[in-house]
Amino acid sequence: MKKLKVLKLGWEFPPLISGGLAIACFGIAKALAKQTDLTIILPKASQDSILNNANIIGLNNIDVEISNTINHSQEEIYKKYNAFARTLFAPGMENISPYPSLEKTTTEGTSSESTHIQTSTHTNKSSETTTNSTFFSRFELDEMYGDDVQQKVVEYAEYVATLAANLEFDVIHAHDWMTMLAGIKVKHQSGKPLVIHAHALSYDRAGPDARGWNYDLEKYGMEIADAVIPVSRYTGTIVEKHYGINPQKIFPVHNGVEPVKTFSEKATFPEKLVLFLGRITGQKGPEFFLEVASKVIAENDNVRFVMAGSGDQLKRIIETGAYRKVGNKFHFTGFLNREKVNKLLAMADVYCMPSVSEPFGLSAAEAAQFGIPCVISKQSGAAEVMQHALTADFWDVELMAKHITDLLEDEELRKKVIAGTFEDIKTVTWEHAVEGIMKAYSYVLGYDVKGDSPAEIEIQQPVNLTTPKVKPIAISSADIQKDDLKKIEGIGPKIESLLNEGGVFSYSDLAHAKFSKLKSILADAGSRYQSHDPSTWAEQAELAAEGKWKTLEKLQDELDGGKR
Amino acid sequence: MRNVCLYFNLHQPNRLKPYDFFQIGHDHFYEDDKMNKDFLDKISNDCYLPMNAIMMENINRLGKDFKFCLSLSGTLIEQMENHRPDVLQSFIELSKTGQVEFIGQTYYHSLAYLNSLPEFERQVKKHVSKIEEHFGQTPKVFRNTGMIYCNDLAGRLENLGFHGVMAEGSPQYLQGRSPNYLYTAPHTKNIKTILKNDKLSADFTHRFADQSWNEYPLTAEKYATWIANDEGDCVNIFMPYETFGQHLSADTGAFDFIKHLPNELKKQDVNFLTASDQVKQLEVKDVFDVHLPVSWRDSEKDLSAWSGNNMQKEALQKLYSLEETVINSKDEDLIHVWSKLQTSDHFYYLNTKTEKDGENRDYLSPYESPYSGYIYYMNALADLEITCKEKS
Repeated sequence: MKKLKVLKLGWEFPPLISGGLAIACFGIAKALAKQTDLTIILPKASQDSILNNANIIGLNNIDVEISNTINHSQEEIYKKYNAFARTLFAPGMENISPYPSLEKTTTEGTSSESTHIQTSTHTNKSSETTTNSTFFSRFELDEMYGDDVQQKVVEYAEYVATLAANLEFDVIHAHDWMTMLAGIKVKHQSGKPLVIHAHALSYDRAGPDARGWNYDLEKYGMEIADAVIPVSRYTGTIVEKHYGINPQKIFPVHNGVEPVKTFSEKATFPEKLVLFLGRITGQKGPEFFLEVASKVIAENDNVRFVMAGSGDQLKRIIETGAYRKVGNKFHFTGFLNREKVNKLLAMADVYCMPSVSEPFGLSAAEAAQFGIPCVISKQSGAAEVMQHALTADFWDVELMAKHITDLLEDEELRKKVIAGTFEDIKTVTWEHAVEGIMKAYSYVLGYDVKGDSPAEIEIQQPVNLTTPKVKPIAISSADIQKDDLKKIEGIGPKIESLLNEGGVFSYSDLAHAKFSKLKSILADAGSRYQSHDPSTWAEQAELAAEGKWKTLEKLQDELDGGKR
Repeated sequence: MRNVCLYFNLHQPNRLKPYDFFQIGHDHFYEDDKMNKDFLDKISNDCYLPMNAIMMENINRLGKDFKFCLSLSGTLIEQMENHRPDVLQSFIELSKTGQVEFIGQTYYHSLAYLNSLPEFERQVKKHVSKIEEHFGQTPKVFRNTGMIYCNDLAGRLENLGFHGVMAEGSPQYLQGRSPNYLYTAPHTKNIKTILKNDKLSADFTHRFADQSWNEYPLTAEKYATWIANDEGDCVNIFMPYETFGQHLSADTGAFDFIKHLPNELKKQDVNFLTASDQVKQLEVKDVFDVHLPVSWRDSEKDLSAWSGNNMQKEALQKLYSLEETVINSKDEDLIHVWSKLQTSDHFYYLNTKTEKDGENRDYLSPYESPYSGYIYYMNALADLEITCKEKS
């Protein structure tokens, strides 16, 4: 069968990495290239941007002249395109860098001298003004965003459209807002369906109140698109609810997680270590991490917190940490290179990701691979994938502090979370992601897309997009050894289910559970259960775990309703 | 009768290295030895050695008629002992002329007075011993770090046997009176307060190189007439020794100025007095009543340069919370390490003031910002805490 031809429009791509986008685009491309005939157009590609079985075109490496391929004024719907394509500067877009690297410390507030929207007077008028060499010069110094990002976006669209006029493809796949204009233009010119991959939205960066050129472009692009692929159900909810996109065409697909080489290293200080890793910006919830830390430190003398990264909130967090008097236990490293990041991961005892809005959250998955138990916010894609991680709403600092304390003190829980999350991550691959992408392709093309893989792909309605469900204590009963706890005298079906909810599934769990924990499980269930006495359960469970049924029977003969 | 007292303070801190998170728990040496040595070499060549030569020349020329006061911090003396004994020797040579009075201060140039009185007393005594050791005289007049002063300080110094204490002539407490007289703190008997003449001191330190100043250029001759004609018993010109060659570089003519100033003052019939001379010879004019600490630092002339923001307060609080464990350990090395972290510069670097005061901090601070300074300091302190925990 003929392979599907995919035209992928990208912005960042290795070796030009500014953040997670480049890594995700590469992962998708690599897996997609195995099943499709893939062409990727990037604003800038280097000699190192080589991928087997894919045709990578960097606009910096070819000569193109913009030709006027469509007359935008003809159709009503593309009038809006003109409005975007003529924008050279919109307020509030200075220094926008949606995926800034940790290095870029914003130290001072950005000054915004211009407050009006500039538009060019001669737009879309063939190749009279620019050539791609001037376009390319905007991308020098590896600056993928910068002050003139709109201009880059608009010009990228023009060059891509010109190039695409001579390319053959079945579907257009654009990544994030930078390539949306290009996607729209190519869709219009070719009549081929457009799929938009949503890695991060202005909602994530600037919060629910964010409006303006960026938001409008995202909304417009996703409205025009035939399908939208958010990187999580969480982001899918935002696409639907916040951008008003038809849920029928939303296909959430989790990113893959590449296996990383892990190691562990003993910290040089005696205390336990809780780690925050990421840009120190509002989106990542650093102030919540600090609050959580203050609460844990107040209760536990044997713990340090470290915040690795840099960002516009760094100074504020440093000052707040001093104000909360945790300066000797709450540390900052600034931007760290990969080697140092790995060193921290190797040392950490708990990883905390309290993001306010996190489309995916690759760093949490990496931490899990390092065998660190994670406490993550429910407002993240990672929470959908890492079902065994402990979760809380980003604002629920009490619960997050409790989770951290539990992980530091309860060795059983700790082991369970580590092992469970590790398993969760294993199934999260780029190959799996591509299966989801193929479903979106099938939907927009109206027929089953089959790559080399013989597996039947059904066209499905997108998965339920209600707010991701997260279990209160995120220990799923799947994959966990479950014993019949009712064999313990004193435990009936109801108490068994209470214990399961409290993370006690096996005889061994019960044998090692702290007496106080059992008491509190019963106490939490209400007065009916408070009279139950768990004092012999551990002893019974130990015998059951070792298979000493005879001895257990003998013991139970001596007991009265599970009590001595 | 017209008198002048020239007083210079000298100090170098043991600046910390960029002590990062990964060093906590295994790297117990916090100072940047090389940086501190380089600073000492530079300041010795730019200021200490040329100034000592000029002052020696002035003494040789004017003999007993010329005298002045110096106050060297213990940390500076230690640095010279370790790295530049030649520079220390040149100060000893000056002291041997008998024309220099050495003024007491806290050994570590610290804020101990504001944070721990027992520690303050320990450092005052330690400094006295150090001065006796090298210069053969016992300081009888005291100046606190940053000229921090209040009534209570005078009382405590009186109990420690000092007969004079220096202070900033703060206008809000002078209330129209001249700083050019000897004052006394309320309820003290045996200690006098000597006030800096801020206007005339700053005319040199802050305006000498200012070409937009209407008195520019300031010649030694002009300056001598101003001093001679100011009302009162004695004009106290206080400034850092490092003003020469560091704050005012050689090409501003600052060295020529100080070389000629004593002659010009003599021409105006102005006598030189030391701080102790004033205490012995001058009549007390009035009570100088200061309830809350004042200083000579920054535009506010209060404590905000060292403890105005939360980072500074946190660093100080955490440092002094270790006092009991450190002192009780009786471990001389540990006590010394902890004490050196008390040097006021560590806290000054953390102030987040802007404009002129902020520029001044950035000029003096070895760190890229107050925030990085705080991070390094707290990391080092975290390590010291671990050591203390092991000791206790």
